[in-house]
Amino acid sequence: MRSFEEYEVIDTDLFSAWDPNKFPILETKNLKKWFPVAEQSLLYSKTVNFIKAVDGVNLFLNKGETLGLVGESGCGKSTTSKTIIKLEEPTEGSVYFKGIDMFQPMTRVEELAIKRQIQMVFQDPYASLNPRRMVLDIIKEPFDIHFADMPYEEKEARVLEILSKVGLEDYHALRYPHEFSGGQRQRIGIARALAMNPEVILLDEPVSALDVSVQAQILNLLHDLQIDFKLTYMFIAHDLSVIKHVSDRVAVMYLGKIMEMAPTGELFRNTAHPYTIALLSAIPRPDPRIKMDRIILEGDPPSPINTPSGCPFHPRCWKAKEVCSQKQPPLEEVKPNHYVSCWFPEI
Amino acid sequence: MLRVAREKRKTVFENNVKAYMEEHRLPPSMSWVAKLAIAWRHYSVDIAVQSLAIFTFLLIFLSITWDTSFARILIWSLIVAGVWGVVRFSIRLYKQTAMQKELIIAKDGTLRERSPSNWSLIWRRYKKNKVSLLSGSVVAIVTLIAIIYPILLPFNPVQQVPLFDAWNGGGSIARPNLKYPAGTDILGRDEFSRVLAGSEVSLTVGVFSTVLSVFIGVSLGAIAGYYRGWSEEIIMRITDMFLSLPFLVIAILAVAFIRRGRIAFLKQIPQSMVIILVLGIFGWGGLCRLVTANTKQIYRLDYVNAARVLGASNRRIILLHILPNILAPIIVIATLSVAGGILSEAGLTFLGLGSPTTISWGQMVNEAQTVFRSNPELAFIPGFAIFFVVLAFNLLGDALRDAMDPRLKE
Ligand SMILES: Nc1ncnc2c1ncn2[C@@H]1O[C@H](COP(=O)(O)OP(=O)(O)OP(=O)(O)O)[C@@H](O)[C@H]1O
Ligand code: SF4
Ligand SMILES: [Mg+2]
Repeated sequence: MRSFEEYEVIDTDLFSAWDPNKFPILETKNLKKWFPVAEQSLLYSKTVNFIKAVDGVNLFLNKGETLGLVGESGCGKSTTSKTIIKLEEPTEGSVYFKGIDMFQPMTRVEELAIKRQIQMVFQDPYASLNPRRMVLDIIKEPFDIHFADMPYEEKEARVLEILSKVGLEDYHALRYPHEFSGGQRQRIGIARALAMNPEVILLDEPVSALDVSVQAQILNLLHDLQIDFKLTYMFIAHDLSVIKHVSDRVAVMYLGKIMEMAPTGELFRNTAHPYTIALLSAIPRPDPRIKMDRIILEGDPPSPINTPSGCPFHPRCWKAKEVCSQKQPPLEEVKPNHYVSCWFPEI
Repeated sequence: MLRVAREKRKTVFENNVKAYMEEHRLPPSMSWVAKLAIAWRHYSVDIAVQSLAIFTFLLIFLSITWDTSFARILIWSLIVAGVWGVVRFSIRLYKQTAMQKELIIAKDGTLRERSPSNWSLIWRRYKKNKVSLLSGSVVAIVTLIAIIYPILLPFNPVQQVPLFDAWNGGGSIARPNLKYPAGTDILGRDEFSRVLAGSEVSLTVGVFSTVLSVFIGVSLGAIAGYYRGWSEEIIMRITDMFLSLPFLVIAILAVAFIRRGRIAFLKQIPQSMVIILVLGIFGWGGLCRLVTANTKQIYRLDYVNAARVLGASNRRIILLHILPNILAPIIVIATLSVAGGILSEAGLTFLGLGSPTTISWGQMVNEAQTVFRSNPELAFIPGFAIFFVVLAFNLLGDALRDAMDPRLKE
């Protein structure tokens, strides 16, 4: 089989300026995605408000690591990942992949070159596979799009190779998605994302729709693949125990903003942000004898339509002072590699 | 498409079958000779017994009834029994091959059944329903008649039959009799032949007007649903406009304008073509709305997102990911629209907008009006043909809807 590079249509000068040791592979700067809320009437529609799903996210991924992105449901995790991968247009801010602004005007060839390197696995394995296509066609699709002149036999051989890598069998290639269990479907989704040998994979809650036993299998598979292919993951979850298990670094998100970002051990040991403290205290302990105060947050999370002024957490925060409701705290590096967005972090 | 499908089979599947054949010490290639050998080994006795039975039966039956030499009887019986054997054998062979194609070999050497595609699941559900089978076969037979009717015609449908004679009837407005099973019309042409010939116009108009409106409706609907924004706004307003036009009035005006107007080249367009154009151009509104709504719904699904993340072009997403998933409702609507087209054609020609030179059921009912009191069958027979075919298409549409309804999925 010929090497992949022979089919690459361009010499990617695109990424030559990027130095993996100095710069993160993926970085967002002040990324915002506001969905307009329109007031419809018969003749006109007027934007009356915005859902601030993502409201100034700054985060970065270093090559080869797993960044866990955690937060309550509806805080904007999916929207963040969708904006990063260009499924949504950002309202403001930018995304840099290997130093390149993803949203700058690009030729189709350049665009495809980037798409080969950054892929996504979706949350719902039942909605992410086209029910009318055989698994063979689903996994072959990236080859059809990117390497149109690759001979059919070779595409097929590669599909079978990828299938075996994600733990499926040859004959599964000729089946339709509805024949598979949730875990198997997620494997197919992973195989599809893996086909182009990407460097970064965004995993949007890849296991939250699965049974617990299957979750472990998929997590192990993802771990093995990361080692084999030297992948960089952004792992989205709302389950802190999963995040703790898989990530090298964790970013905590609240109402469209990053509250705290630190290496996993550091974050769990020296938690600095009040919201993270509250979140961690809600994890069920395996040993009930170890007493720990559970901090019960008062009130519901405010809706992303009417976000509070200043620190978005201030209506529920027990440390809130005057300044918190007036000025938005910036995401600052309080210790090396430990970023917090709070006026009064616990250090 | 076909080439890809064939290649697919060739590589993955045939490799698997090869392994199976080797394991069972069958000839390594899937050549026709090998298949023939397998089929022969399995079915030869069975088929030989059947052929022999037929041969014996024919020999006895023909000897009693046919006043001719025994050699001749022998030869005919042999031919019939032989043809029977060949047909049976071919069917078996075909089924055997089809069955092998359903099988997949797993790595551990076990045989797995290939999963049925969505379409074969639909076919299975469809088969279960008696009404759908019946309406399906009526539609198939009518379509067949519309294509091959020239070889079925007992009389020339545009020529007068010989004048009345005491034994066979004839002349004009003859009652149905053995020679002219539906009687003759006011100009003395065989009504039965005319009903057969009328199927052509009905089906052509129904099918081609549907093709036209499906083409317009699906293209516009897919564009509106996929690109949304102002293109959806514009297309939806146009659709609303077309949906609120009084269709029959417009159709009558349009047909009258083209047929009776002053523009010479328009007049040369054949009658059925005019009706096809009018029906096709004015009949796509409902389908367009349906396709728009369905496209918008599919667009939000993650498999479309996944295709976009992979870099698929818009055309690819629409053709490969969206349209195949909304094909079921499109097919149902198209079937119903064929029925509507046939009915509209009959209505328009009944109202006198047809041309007298075209044989059409609506036209025949129209012409029969003058003699309705004395010879109502002249109106009822083509009228019943319309009713019957429209009913069959409507039932087929309903049956398809039932079969394709995902809520009934096995
Ligand atoms: N296309 C859209 N149009 C309008 N609002 C949207 C859209 N997509 C998301 N939202 C809103 O943005 C907010 C964030 O949604 P998002 O899906 O990113 O949350 P999430 O963190 O992924 O939650 P979950 O854990 O439930 O997946 C939600 O309030 C949601 O209603
Ligand atoms: S900035 Fe103030 S309100 Fe916000 S988390 Fe820190 S202490 Fe609480
Ligand atoms: Mg989500």
